[in-house]
Amino acid sequence: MEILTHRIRHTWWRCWLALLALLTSTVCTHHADAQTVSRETQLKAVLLYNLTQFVEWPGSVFSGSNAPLVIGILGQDAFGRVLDDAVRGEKYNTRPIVVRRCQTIEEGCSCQILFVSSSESSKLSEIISQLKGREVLTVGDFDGFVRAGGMIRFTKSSQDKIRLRINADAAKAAELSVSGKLLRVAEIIRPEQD
Amino acid sequence: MQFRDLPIKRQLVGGIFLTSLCVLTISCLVLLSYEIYSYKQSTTRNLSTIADIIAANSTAALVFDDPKLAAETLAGLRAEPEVVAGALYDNAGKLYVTYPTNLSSSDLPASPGASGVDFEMQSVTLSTPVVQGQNRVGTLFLKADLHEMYRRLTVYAVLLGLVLFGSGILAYLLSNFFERRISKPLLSLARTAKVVSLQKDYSVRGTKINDDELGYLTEAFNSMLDQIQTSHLALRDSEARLSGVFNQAGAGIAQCDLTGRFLLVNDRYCEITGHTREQLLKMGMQNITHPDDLADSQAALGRLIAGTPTSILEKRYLRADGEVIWARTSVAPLRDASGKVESALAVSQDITERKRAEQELERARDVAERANRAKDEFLAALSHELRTPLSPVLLLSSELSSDTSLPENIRADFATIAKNVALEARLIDDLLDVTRITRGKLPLDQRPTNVHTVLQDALATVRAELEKKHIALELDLAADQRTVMGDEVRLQQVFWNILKNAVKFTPDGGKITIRTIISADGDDLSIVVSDTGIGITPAELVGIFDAFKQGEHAHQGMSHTFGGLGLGLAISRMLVELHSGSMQAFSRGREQGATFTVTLPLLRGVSTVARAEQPPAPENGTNATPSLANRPMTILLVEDHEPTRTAVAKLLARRRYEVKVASTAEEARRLIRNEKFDLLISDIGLPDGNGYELMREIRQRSGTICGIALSGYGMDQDILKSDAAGFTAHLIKPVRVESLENALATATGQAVSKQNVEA
Repeated sequence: MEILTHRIRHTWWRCWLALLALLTSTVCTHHADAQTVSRETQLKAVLLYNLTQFVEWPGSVFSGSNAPLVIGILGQDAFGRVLDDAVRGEKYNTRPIVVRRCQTIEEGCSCQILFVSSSESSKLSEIISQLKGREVLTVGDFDGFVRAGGMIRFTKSSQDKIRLRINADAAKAAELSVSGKLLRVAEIIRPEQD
Repeated sequence: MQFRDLPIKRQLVGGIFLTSLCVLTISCLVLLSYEIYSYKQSTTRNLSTIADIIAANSTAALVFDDPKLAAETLAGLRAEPEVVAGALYDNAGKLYVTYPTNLSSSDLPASPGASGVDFEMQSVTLSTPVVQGQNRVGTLFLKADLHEMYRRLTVYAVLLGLVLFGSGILAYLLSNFFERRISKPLLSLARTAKVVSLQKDYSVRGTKINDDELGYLTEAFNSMLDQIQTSHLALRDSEARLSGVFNQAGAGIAQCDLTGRFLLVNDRYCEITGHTREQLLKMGMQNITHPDDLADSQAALGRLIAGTPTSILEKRYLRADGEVIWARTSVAPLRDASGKVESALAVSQDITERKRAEQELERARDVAERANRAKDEFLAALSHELRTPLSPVLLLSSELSSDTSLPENIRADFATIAKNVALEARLIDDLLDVTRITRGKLPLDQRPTNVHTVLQDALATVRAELEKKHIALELDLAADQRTVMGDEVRLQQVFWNILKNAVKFTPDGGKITIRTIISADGDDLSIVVSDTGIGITPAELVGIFDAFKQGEHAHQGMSHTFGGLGLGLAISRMLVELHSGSMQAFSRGREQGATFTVTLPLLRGVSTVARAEQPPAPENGTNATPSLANRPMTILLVEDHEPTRTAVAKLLARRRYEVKVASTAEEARRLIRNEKFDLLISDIGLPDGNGYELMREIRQRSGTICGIALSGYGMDQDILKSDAAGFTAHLIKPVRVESLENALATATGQAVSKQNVEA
């Protein structure tokens, strides 16, 4: 809020933007309340954003030079406002980052990162197959996600820390370049190891 | 001792050595500084590189919260031994992992400081942000110790010290070498100079060693020595010559300092002063100078110091044997190089002999002068004695020759007597004039005078005689300039003498020509008087102007015709010469006539000054009434010469004056006490006093009295004395009637005016 009020001082149209954001935040409370979202979910939201910093997409995936990098959520949205807060003001190179709640798989195909909610575990193989050939980083947090062809899965370590499992081959097949740094902190697995 | 006072050898060595040492030290310091600087630079660069790598590798670990991975990344610092500590802080500034892992947190800052490199004494620390993309995800802190730098610096310092030491030794050796090259010729030159200055040996020479500037210096020094030697030898020769001259000089030579102390004397000086050289050199000039001449001598020395070039004095010296000698000493100053008078050089000559001769001469002169004075006095007395008896004769004969009661022939006889007595008086006057002129005692009353007027006056006195002898007179007064500086009376006397001679020696019916001519150069006026008289023989011409000489004619029985002592021409020429003029006589010979020429210098710048009109002569006393307010004038006549007294008394009585006579001063005083007189006529020389005293006494008693002095003495001082005593007139004996009458007239006039004042 402080940031917003700060911006108000500059231009009046930003007031409208702020008003809109206020409306949106109140409207979105029905997805997930900040107080109701668990710390684990909050961490996952930040990690989701951080993935944008360690993965490179080919320039062709963006429709224009100012086109945003889209993080899509397919299925039930556990993040709520938390993810929106995490990406607000952040950039991928020069591109803004936006969050999109996808209703259909097709909709998810136009995202750069697609978080597949556990609610969609049943339709996973269909989703993966539909995304084949698309430069979309698929992220999930349920068992068998990588086995089914997903690229990155959030798991929980013994110390209650969120760990990454990466199917490097799948990412490579999707023509995504994953930073070595990411690979160093992650557990690189083949699909059958999941 | 200051550096510049050290021997040149040490200065040179020290200079070169110090210079080298300074240069080396500065080089070493610069090197060391640069080493420290570059070490810091490289350390910074190194540490930054390491930090960059570690930071880049730590981002994922920080982002994905993997402390194990972060610790592993930091463990990579093992490869850098100088890095002693490392730490990662998360984005919140909390310590995340450390290196080495067992490092206690007290060794590390609690929170990461500002980014940058910070050098401390023992270590260098670095803080750099860990950035992923645009986001700062944490801070990396590294600490490296500087032991390595100090170790290297120590090695450097030791190495530089060694270099300094080594090059110092080298510099010292080299400086010694160069010093020898430079100072050897210098020291050799200095040794030579010392020999020259101490032993005064100008034959030594410096040795030229190199062809550099020092070589030239040596050459120049040697050539200077050559010159000095040459001039020294010349000086010695000249000194030897001078000393020879000095010692053998005929004159005594001495050099004194400014206090008079002798510095140098020659043999002759010793001889003159009668002291030995040793004695003299212990004395001053004052010790041998006669006390009476000491002041003069000191004054001469003072003048010398004041700057007078040379002074000459004649003074007396006291010889050692007590004898006094005269020396003529010329003193000249000797100056030092700056021109200040340093000492005096005296050259003395023994003039004792000359002085003695001079004194003799002086004595002789004194004797002669005394004799001369005696002669003059004799002449004066003689003329007085000669005049005195003439007075009554002249007075009485003049008086009687004009006495109409006497028969004509007797009066004529008296006239002859009077004329001849007057002539004799004239001769005596001439004699006195000669005496006065030769003694230089004749004062001239010189003023601008018109020569023509004087000439006319002189002519007037002889005109009667000219007419009597029927002599023709031709006047040719052609000079347009006629003013000379002269005494009118004396010039008239000169002209009168010449004219009188011309008339005398020209026979009846002859001719006299008078001309005045301006000389060719316009400076002089000549008066030429020619006659057709008896002329002058060449033999006579030779001594014509000498006193007491008369022409041959005077000794050939013609003295009766012409008479005279021959003083007239002599006096005339003397008078003309007193006027800076000249007088010549010319004649072709006997019976050829004679020409006298008087030449006088014209007065420049004055054309013609009219002669002041003479006051008209008083009327002859015989016709005047010698009375005062209807009573006869009373006269006291004091005269010891009885005939004169009687004659004058008679003469005065005939003129109706009331006369009382006295023959002595005492008698006169007696008369004055009883009676009052209007006039005192007194002889000056009285048996019991003189006329001056008498006059003063009477004037004190009754101030109104007038006085006429009678005296055989006609000298100027006599007349002045008369004036001072209060006499209105001074008559010289023999008294002529006319002069007495004139004096009486003047006195009467004064007496009348005085009486009027009293009334």
